[in-house]
Amino acid sequence: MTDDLALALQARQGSDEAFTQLVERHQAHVYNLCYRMLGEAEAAEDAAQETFLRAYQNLHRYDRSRPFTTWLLSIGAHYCIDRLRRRKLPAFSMDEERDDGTTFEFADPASLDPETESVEREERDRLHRLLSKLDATDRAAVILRYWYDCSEVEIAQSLKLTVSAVKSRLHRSRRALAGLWQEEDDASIQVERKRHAMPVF
Amino acid sequence: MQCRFFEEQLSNDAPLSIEQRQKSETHTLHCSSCAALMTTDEMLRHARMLSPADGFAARFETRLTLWKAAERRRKLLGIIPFSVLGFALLFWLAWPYLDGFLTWQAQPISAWLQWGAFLFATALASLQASLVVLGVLANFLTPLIWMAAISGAAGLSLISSISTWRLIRASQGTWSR
Repeated sequence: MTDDLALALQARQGSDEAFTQLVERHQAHVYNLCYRMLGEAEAAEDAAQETFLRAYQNLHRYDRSRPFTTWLLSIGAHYCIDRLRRRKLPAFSMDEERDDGTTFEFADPASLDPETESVEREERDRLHRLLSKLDATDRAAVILRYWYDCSEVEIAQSLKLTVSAVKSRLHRSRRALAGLWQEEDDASIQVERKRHAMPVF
Repeated sequence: MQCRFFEEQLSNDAPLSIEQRQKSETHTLHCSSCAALMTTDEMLRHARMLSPADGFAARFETRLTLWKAAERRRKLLGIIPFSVLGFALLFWLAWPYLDGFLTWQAQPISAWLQWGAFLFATALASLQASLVVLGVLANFLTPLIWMAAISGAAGLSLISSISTWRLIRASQGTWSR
């Protein structure tokens, strides 16, 4: 029996302490998912808390044959998809990640060079911006695949889709992201050209 | 290499052989769409995990406590109207029988009610009087006297219990000297 399962069973029997331990263990996973889905630190915090609350309310429905993390991420993904559908307009603001101090990324010893760090950050922001242009379910599939190494079967279980639908969504999303990436690249090259074509140059 | 094979390789998690890798790299040099595909894939694979601000679990506990309180209120508010409605319905259904019973047994019921009210008032008055007396006595008596008084009362209770027991046995003819 895994620790998660043992804690989940204790929590199901009414132990709030066990559930708090589960929260402490999985807070980063759930928060990261919500942040990648919603793109705002404040909304991500709220969504992550709501995910845990929903998990607490539905502990009796937890199927012990599934990993607890996958079950939790499934709740979080569904909640974020619903929230994005209600919101309709995706509001992405990467600045909040750094300015309000509520979010930080794990330090990467490999990228201590400020210039490299800056380039990486720019690329990350760009990726996040592109991610926000995907459909909510596609975005959830991509996040589960790349951030959590979920298999296509696990993604299908989490998002209540068929495996073939997941494959097609992942394929479509990869293509869309690459297309958007190329478009941005082309646009930036054109801007550079225009700047050089100005009389001042 | 065709774009389709490249995409298949990309979506496949198995590590590439040196030859496959070289072919892929050569392909991306000439195919801009596959190059973009590879770049975004690389970016996604190396994206980091974000963590919430400190105290997330504590904030969740507060939220859970608030939710529990709201849930209790909601349940209570749900129970009250149903209970009131249920009692009203019961009263309405039982009223013909109740009315008949009250009319028929008016005198005994009023006597019982008076007796009950008298008992309740007496018990209440005795309790209050005892509390006053104990409150006053507490200031006068030392702990030693209190201990002696309580021990005496306990001894008297024991003697009384034994006497009652012996009396009962004697009346049943089972006790002999």
